[in-house]
Amino acid sequence: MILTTLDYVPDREIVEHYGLVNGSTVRSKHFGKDFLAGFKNMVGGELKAYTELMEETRNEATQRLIAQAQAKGANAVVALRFGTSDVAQGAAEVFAYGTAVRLA
Amino acid sequence: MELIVGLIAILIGFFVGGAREKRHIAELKVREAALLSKLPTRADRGPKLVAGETFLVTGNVVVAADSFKSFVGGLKNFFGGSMTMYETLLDRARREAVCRLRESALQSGASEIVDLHIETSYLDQIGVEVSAYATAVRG
Repeated sequence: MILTTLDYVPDREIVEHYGLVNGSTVRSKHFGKDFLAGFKNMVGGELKAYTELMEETRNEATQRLIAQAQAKGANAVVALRFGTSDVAQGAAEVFAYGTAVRLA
Repeated sequence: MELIVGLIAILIGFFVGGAREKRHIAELKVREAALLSKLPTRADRGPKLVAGETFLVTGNVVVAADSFKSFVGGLKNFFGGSMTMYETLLDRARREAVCRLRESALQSGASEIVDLHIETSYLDQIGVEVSAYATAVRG
């Protein structure tokens, strides 16, 4: 599966459009990673456990988008975008959306 | 007692947090300089690519203010005005996220990055996440 933020793939022709596909994941902050966060809030800076958690979350949303695109028979997603939103106390949503297409 | 604990936390934030911030900014300067000539990066899409392989690259970071920044932030919130300490925190976070994206692209053999997007979101009770994503071009 080719993923790109551009609306085309170099040197490949788009032969079919399947429309919008998306994938989303909601994760809560209580993920067993909160152990050192209290101390970290004193010295500030990066919270590595949460950086990793958000990366995993984004990967999962992307995987769901890929699954949706595959189910439609696509082999690429173009004009891919990500969004993050704070949906409830201590919970964040990551969503990915794009256009599923088939390349020749 | 609580006042003393709070005061110690603010002092730790000021000294340790401040030193960490200084170190991070110095480190970012070195990494950005190393990337400068190797990997042209643009936020727009540039001229239409006719050849080469493209792939998605990402970089992210979650940061939190230290207790000194939070304390001063609380005061400034009351009196109004610009919140410089949060500005530097966000600036560091954005530069870090973009650096990570570019470093990972370089490792994957990219020669150019186009269509870079930067997104900032507030994570309730945790901090702020900056995530960057772009299309990397190989060949």
